[in-house]
Amino acid sequence: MPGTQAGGGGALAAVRELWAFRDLLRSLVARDLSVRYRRSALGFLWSLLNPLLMMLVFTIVFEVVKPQQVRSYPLFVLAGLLPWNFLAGSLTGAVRSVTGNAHLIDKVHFPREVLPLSVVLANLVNFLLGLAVFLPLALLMGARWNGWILALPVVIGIQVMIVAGLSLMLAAMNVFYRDAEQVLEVGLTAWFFLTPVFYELELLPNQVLGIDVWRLVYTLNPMATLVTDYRYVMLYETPIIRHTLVPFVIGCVLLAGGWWAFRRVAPAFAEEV
Amino acid sequence: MNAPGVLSSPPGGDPEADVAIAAHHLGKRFSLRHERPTTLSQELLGVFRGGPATEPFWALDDVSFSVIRGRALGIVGRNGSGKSSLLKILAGTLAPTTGTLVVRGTISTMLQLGAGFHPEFTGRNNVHLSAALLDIPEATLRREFDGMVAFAELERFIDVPVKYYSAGMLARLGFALSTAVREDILLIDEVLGVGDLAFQRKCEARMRALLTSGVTVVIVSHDVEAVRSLCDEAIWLDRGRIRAAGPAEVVVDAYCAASAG
Repeated sequence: MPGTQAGGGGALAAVRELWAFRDLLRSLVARDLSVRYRRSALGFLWSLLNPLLMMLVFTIVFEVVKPQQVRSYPLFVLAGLLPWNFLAGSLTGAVRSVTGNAHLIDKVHFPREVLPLSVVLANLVNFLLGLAVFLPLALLMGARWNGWILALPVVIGIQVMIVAGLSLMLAAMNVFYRDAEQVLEVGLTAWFFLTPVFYELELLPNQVLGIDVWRLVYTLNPMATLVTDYRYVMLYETPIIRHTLVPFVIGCVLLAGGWWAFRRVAPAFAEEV
Repeated sequence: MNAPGVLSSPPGGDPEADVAIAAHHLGKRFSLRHERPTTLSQELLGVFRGGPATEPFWALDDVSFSVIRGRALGIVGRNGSGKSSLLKILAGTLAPTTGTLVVRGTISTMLQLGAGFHPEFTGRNNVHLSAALLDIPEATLRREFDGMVAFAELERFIDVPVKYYSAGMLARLGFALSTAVREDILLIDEVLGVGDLAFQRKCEARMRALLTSGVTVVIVSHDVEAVRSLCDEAIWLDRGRIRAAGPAEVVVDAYCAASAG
């Protein structure tokens, strides 16, 4: 362990420091994942079973309810719910990741980023396991793929940038203002309904007072774009939408800005937590 | 403030190159907020009222000392005298407000394992996580693991969740972990004197072995006897300032005398 103070340094130094602590990152991810299922009889299987059972519930419910003219509604919902859960789970965990580990912050010098980032990675692993169950099931239930399925990692990558950037910001903010947790809770609920998880965006009127509502949502809400992208490539043989550039740019800005801001205030964590 | 660093150099006057830790005029200021805003709305209200009443509080004030490699420094003082702040600055988790600190070598901090990670986790899991936190390489940990567990006398319990451990067991494991891998500097905060008498003897023997092998140790403790017996030198902190510095016995005696009176 270098006996030096945490310096500001450039982006390269930040990445190098994080790389030096990859063992810690991996251990924390493993801890998060195993804490989730500790003391449960099925343990790790829950990661796979969870989306499966959710799918079953949706199938039963929507066979009865038949809410929309969306083809295979359970698939439609789950394709949006899995990425949404990745976002919501990450942010909810990350916001407490620094404040909840005050005793470590106090004692040891290590790059504090690993705390929120490990939460994001653990949720990512969970998300990927969910997809591993969902994708074959989708095929079985009549989803069709073409070459655009190869864009899936790109969509996931963009979402990871957004989630990681927001997680870093929230974790740092919560150290100084515990309001962050509350704001997040309300914010996530609002965001959830603004994101077409249970409905199709096309359900909204396109033109209201001369405003192009669809474009507005796709431009302002990167999750709306991403959820649509997930559906298009995983279910409908459709290219990702043109507006995907927007979440990509937002992701870059959030990750760079979030990381920068986090590192700027991190030296003060030991005083505040 | 920037006077040439007058180190409280130990007898013998070793060359500068052998100094493991050199602190020059360290100061740490905290802002004591009398009505501490902890939420955004309170903070905003504070702005309207002309800001929260803050009062600078120097937890450490003009603290200078140095530690020669392979020596043990004890830090004594009453609660709130700045001992822990000083140790945090040495560990690199707290930045000093004034002064400079030069640390030569790698640092190990003694962790209280129980507080560290998940109580549902076994001792083995906790050791792995703590090792990652202390930046101990996997390979090194694998090599040292069995010896460490044996030292902590926890062979039978290493795969039991730590929530079933006694305080003594946790402290033993923490001590074993942070001393199993040899770092250049070891920081210890109030975890000596745990376990039974036999284990304390073992700890003391291991500490002496580490010191002989050139490890530099800084101990913060209320256990003045441990400081007296293990440390070469000591400093006595009183309200953030050095009240006395010198040979451990002399400093500890002075501190004890003052506390008794």
